[in-house]
Amino acid sequence: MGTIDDAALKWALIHADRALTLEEGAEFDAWYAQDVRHKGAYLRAQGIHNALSRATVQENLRPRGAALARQPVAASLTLVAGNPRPPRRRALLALGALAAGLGLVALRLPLPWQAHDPILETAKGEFRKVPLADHSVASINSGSRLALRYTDQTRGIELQRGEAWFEVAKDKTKPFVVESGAVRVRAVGTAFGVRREAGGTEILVTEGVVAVSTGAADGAPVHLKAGERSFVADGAAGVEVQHNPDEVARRLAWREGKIIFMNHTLRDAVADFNRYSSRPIVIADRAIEERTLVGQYQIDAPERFARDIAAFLHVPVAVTAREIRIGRSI
Amino acid sequence: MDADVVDWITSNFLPFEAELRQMLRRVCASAEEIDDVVQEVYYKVLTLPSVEHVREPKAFLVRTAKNLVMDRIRRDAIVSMETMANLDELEIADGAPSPERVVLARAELNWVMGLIANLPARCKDVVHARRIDGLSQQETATALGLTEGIVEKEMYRGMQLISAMIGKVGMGAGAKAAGRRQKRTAGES
Repeated sequence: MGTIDDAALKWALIHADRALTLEEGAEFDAWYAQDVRHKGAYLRAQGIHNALSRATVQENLRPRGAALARQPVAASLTLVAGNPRPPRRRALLALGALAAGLGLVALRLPLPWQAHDPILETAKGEFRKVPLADHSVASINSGSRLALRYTDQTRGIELQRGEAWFEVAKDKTKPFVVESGAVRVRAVGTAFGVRREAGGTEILVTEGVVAVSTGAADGAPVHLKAGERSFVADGAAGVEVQHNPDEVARRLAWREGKIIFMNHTLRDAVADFNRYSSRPIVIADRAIEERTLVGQYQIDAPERFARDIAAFLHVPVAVTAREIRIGRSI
Repeated sequence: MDADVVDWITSNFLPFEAELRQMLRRVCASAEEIDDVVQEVYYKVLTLPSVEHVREPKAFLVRTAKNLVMDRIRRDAIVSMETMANLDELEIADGAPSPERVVLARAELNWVMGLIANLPARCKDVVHARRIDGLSQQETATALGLTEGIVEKEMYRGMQLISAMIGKVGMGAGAKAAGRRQKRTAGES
């Protein structure tokens, strides 16, 4: 993109932000009048700015704002482990993002888990952000189940199903250990996600370092740093580490109620949505499964996603109470 | 500037710009010429009495671009046979149906969000805070622990990168290859 476009972007940014000074005004007028290409490029720049501004309409992407952060927090924090009714998701997501933005000034209620392993569970489509007794915080993805095993020596968590992201409070005397099948992920003061899948466990590190060990007797723990991820297949002895901060961030986008696609296939996209919805999307047409997508959706908008895809790929979509079917029926 | 025109551009032109540039590559001599033609197409939209009457935005944009290229050819009076042949192909593309435009208005938002997600980390944080959270430059600087000068610079860089991605990443089947280019663009900066 050339200098005209750059100049146009600069002007569009200034215009959107504040009134021009007299001098700038004259300069802009002269530039604008000079060439039809300047006028065209300026319209384009305004369009780009407008596209970015439109993104503000999406409610659940907003809560990081300072305006919200200034509101009292404790009043809206009613979340405790063992809450009998799943709290409303929107509120929860907003709450989660809010707490994250505030560096977690969370109100922590004493949790009655001395007697037996407390269980943290989420239904499909439900998200929870739970402050733990040691001031660590677990953000729990849809359809997950965790058993808490806190003792005097360790802070143990068993991930029995699904996925969670942990912001671990520093405590060198008590290691924070997440177990998923045979895989153990140990951390001291860090933030990381663990996702349990049918064939193994995925580890995503966003801050600090974690040590991952498998069930293999001789295997030394493998260290994963921020921005690294690893998938450990069930029964695997080794741990392969991949450095990819973008992918780590993308895979944890559920914490903000989002699903992001960067050239992912329709098949993967649908699998992602289906993790969160009790009404699955079904691709009836094999031929379109490999089509790749770029974009971002709200996690709770599978129907909108399906309708966009159907229109985009020129295939029919059928929405029933039971499922959302994309592509020609058999 | 008329807000309707800017809205129309946002929904109908930006998502399609990469595809139009792709077409122009076969009839334009250089990247600069493509930039020129695209800017002039935007200008033509600006001079329309009303955008409401444009029934098929994509066909309209292709036709406008084609006319502009023909004007240039007439003006320069030198043209290769290849360019002429490719110009005819533009006409065929012009006539192709474009049902995707129906969803463009909605899909384009998600598409732009994807572009933001692809920015380098600090740049993305700034664009997110400024445009999505709606923070002022000063609030953004405080929230992210940056100077206002850096916030301003990153915001401009973000606009440049997104502008470049809009020029390269289409919404159609070419998204894969375009995505690779786009990654490189973001990484180069």
